[in-house]
Amino acid sequence: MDITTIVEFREAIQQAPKSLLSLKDIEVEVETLSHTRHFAECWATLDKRRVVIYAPITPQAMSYAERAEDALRGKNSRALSSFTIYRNELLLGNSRRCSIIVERPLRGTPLTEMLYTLTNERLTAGLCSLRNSLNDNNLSHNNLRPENILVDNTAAWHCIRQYYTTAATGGDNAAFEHLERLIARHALADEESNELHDTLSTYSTETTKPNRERCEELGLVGFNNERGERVIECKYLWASDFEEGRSMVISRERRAGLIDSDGREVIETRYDEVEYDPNTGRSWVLNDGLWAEFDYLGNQISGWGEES
Amino acid sequence: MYSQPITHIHRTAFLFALDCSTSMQGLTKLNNKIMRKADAVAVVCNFILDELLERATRNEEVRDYYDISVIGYSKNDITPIIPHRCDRLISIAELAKYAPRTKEWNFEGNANNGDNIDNREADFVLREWVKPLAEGRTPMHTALTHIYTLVDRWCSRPENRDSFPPMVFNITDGEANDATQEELITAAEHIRETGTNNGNTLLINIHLGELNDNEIDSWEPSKIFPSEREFEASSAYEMTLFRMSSPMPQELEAVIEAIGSDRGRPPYRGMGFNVTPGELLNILNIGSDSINIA
Repeated sequence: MDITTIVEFREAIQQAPKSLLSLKDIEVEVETLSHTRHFAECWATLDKRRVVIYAPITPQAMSYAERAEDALRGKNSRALSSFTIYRNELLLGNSRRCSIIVERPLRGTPLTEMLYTLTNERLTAGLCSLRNSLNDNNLSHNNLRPENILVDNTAAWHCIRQYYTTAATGGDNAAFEHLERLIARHALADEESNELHDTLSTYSTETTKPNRERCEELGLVGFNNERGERVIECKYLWASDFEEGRSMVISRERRAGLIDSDGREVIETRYDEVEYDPNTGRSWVLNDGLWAEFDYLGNQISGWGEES
Repeated sequence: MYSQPITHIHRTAFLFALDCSTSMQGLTKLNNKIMRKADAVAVVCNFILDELLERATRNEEVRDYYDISVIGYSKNDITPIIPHRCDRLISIAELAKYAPRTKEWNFEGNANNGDNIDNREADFVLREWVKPLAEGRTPMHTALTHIYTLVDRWCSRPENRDSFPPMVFNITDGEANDATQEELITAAEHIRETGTNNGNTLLINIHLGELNDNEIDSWEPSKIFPSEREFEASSAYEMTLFRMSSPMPQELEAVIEAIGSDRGRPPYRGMGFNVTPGELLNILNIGSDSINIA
């Protein structure tokens, strides 16, 4: 089964719905394109409902997704999002096709934001309800982090990015403990609950961003500073947002690299893939089917091997 | 205001919030030696802690002149550094009972260009109170919220009511990613609203610069305790740090002016932007230099 790259995925979804086999009533939000370790992802509207589309970017990705689809099949809980694999749905270049996953979450705001706007009591109730729901359905999400949980207007929690889900409980114990600590630290005290409705309606989702705004010229991506001055020339097919001073880029020659906020190539744009992890500062780099690890400064710190 | 000498009865507090995120793996230069920003911050903090300890020592006895807290922030959370729990400050006498390993720092020589932390020696030995850490995101808002709790509690204690107020140093290289700029400013204002009868808590935000090129001396110009009237921000982020920082009281102006730098007329703001490790040390020294020990 074919996998895709971020550039191919971007080009394919720009052509949607033409590039899709059966999902014709879809409007893709190309600007939401991002990726996790194994999947490229993008938000879209399908049948008047917001959905997330995932496409595999590593050989292991679809086996995770198929295992998750099996585990989630027939489960009926508001805490879970509908999760469907559409096999060979997306037309890539050279007449290749790859499967995609469509997840249909209930409407909500990421827990990353709601942690600061709901009371301890309401957040704890949401957490308990999600934990019970996963237990009742004998499931582990295995990737429960605040950014993978949506909170609806009743303060109920719903999972997204369910592609690592497995049919057994226990996989989320550490994650739930971490979420409990986050709630204890960040939630509003219960007596502050009168502020809840104002806060909910006015809360801004904007977080502080590094002094770089992505810009596009003739289909190529670069970066401006906040005064609108070009600081990194538009010469990349794709570039991620800056995180911890680094952005992953793909050159016109479809080679991947990593740049710093002045546009210097910390990792040269000559590789098949670069997966930068802002949590560690390290990158996994793919070259001719082999992976190697690089540090924040672009020094190679492991030999080339088959597994990342 | 801001005049209470330090005694056994009127101790003061120093709190340090250290950005320990991934971007602190970027490079800087200290005494002509290129190193990660996280390493340089650790050296400077260890230097300051040794300095505070020395100032509190009389006839080989460490007196409780200061309460200390050092926390790191990264990975969506805060990390206790001193003491080993985040929920309290530790007295300098208690700190002295820890015996961290020492580390010898060897430098090629003094740069004489403001990048030095010690003009007397090229090599020195420091106790490793603070170890470098540079992993994860930058939850500065989380750290400021926690600092607020600590200083508010410290200021509320009756024995501290007439003390010189706490000084909080927030050391970062930017890019907070757990809050909006307005939320950061609000969190900072909460800290600055705490205080004692001798003045409000002083919050000093310090942004570390990065070497533009590994091979040559190439720094963006720094701003240290800029004039409130003549300050011009080059970015929204710099303006945010300015708005987060305390106006510095008149009583500390002479010490600030002794640092040098062409900063314009007072009053000054408690911030540094694009600073080198040597300048960081000068800023942190404000704390120990400006408060008299009785």
